[in-house]
Amino acid sequence: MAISLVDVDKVYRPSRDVEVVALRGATLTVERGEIVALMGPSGSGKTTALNIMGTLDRPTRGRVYVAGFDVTEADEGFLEALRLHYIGFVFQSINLVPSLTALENVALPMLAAGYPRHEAYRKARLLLDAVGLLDRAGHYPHQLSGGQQQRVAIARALANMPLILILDEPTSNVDVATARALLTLFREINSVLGTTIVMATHDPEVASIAGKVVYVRGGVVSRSAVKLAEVAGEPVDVERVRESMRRVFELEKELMSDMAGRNELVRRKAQLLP
Amino acid sequence: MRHVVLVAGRDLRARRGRYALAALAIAAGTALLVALSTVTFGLKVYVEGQIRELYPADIMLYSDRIEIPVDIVEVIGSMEGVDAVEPLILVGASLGGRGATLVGIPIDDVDYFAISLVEGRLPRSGGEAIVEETLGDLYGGRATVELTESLLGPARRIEVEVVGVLESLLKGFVQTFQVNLVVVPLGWLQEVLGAEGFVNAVLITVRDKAYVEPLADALKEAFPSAQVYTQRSLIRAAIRIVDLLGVFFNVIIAVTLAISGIVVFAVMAITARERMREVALLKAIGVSGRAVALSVLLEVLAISVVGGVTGMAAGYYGAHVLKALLGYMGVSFDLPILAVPEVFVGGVATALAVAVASSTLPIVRLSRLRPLEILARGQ
Ligand SMILES: Nc1ncnc2c1ncn2[C@@H]1O[C@H](COP(=O)(O)OP(=O)(O)O)[C@@H](O)[C@H]1O
Ligand SMILES: [Mg+2]
Repeated sequence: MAISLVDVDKVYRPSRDVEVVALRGATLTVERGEIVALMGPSGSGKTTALNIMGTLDRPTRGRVYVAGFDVTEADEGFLEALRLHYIGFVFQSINLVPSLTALENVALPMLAAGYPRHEAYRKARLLLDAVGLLDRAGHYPHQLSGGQQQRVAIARALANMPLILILDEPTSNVDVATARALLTLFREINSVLGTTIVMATHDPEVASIAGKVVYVRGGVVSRSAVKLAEVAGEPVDVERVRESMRRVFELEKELMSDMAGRNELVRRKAQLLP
Repeated sequence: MRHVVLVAGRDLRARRGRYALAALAIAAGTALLVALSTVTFGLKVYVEGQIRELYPADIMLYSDRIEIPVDIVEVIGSMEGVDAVEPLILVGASLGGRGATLVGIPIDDVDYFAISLVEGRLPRSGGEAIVEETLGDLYGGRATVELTESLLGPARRIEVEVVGVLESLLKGFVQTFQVNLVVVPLGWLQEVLGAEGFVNAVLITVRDKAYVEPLADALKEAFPSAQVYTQRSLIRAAIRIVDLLGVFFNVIIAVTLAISGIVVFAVMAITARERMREVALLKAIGVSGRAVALSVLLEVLAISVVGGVTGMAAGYYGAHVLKALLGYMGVSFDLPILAVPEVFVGGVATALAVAVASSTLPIVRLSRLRPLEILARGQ
């Protein structure tokens, strides 16, 4: 299993006498290689749940397991390493470093993980190609549209070949066509790289690519009984996306044997990849 | 580490205008520090050189009374390590209202005093005198040296004929140093003052500086009523005066550096505020707080090295300008402006220290930032 929340409460105290219960007794298991969608209205606790699963936040009560580690009380240094090597994030709004080009933004997590410079940029190019933005490699975030920024963020999230991809409202800022292209991309990432995907959305079409849909309402999580409809149409060249994902994966396997010698987390990850 | 350098480099480029301002502030502080320190250093070198010229001896025995028997010269001269001993009389006097120092030296040993004549010749017999350039107007005529009543004896007037002019020592540096020497033969002065066989000062030169302290101690014991000056103690006393000026300079430097520090702090604090979203993102994707701190520190170091080195160069040339400026203002001594490595290194090191110290708070804030606080707010 990739992620597990066990009876998690999250209570925010924005001020002394105000308490906001964002999650209440949430229990949820995400299996390896699964796509899980968290659905629910705004303010229901989706982002809170994602942040806790992504080790950015800690629960007030309950336990959290990520990739086989109990992260409930793990120290910040370990969590930083875990996020760097195991988890890819696409946040709701802030996603790119404004002073770096698209290519540099994608290469950054690899440089932080200690990839050789040349290889990091080579893989960053492949990833940009996979999201269809290789021609924008030298552009700065402010020179890209919302959808393009979102795709660069996805490439960045995939940079260190994470086991888990966490997507918070990944299609909220883009038009319908772009949204569909992104969904295809997510499905290909999942099928080629075996990446576990957890995403929050209130859009049923987005949720439709998920193998499992979970409803969040008032901080309470409940398993969906309904399997939603398939994505309508295929607006992107699936074959091309699939092909570039395969190339990324091949390069990654080459590089990872090198990296694994230096880092225990990477060694474990290498064993878990398909 | 590469990601640290990449982020730092790109941010430096993106905010170059603002960082140039910070570098300028650092440069200004460093320039002032280097300029004033260079001038102070030059002043010390100058004063020390002048004292060595004025008091060529290593030790001077001096008394307010003419009570030191000339015979002592023989005794000291035969002592271990002593090179040369010269007896002389030094008397405060006035010359037509101007303060002066009447000096009697053994004419046979005039070489010892390294007197360089500008005009005329050395005195050969009693009643002849040479005067310092500052009294040069008396050359070729007669002058009356007035002695007031003192421990040396009653008030009296001494007539001399000015036969030569010697080069001014200290070249008119500071008024109190302007001794207006009137040099006459020692034997004659002893006669005039009724003090045959006695002097009130003895200059001693040693072969090795190591003899200075023990010899000075021995003389202090032998002549408890006299003062024993060593050249080093005189230089130290003069340097203390220069240091006083240095303290004043340091206050100016400190104020300027404080302003530089405030500018750097303001720039870094504003930048830190702007970069909170970016840093929150970096930390969320697994970049460590240490890497964030290192990255910003790297930028601060780059800014302060640029500022420091620019300031160092500007300060050194500024010292030349300062000297020229003093020249225009009528201070016309030849102050040496030296390229002192210690001053340069100290200037750049201070620039680094000020910049790093002023950025510490913003850097710590950024590195300790909890990503969720910002990311949650942004959503
Ligand atoms: N940092 C916080 N401080 C206080 N309340 C918060 C904080 N983050 C979220 N909340 C509250 O917790 C609840 C769940 O928020 P969130 O998880 O962002 O919902 P969603 O992502 O489903 O829109 C909301 O009521 C929200 O106002
Ligand atoms: Mg949300």
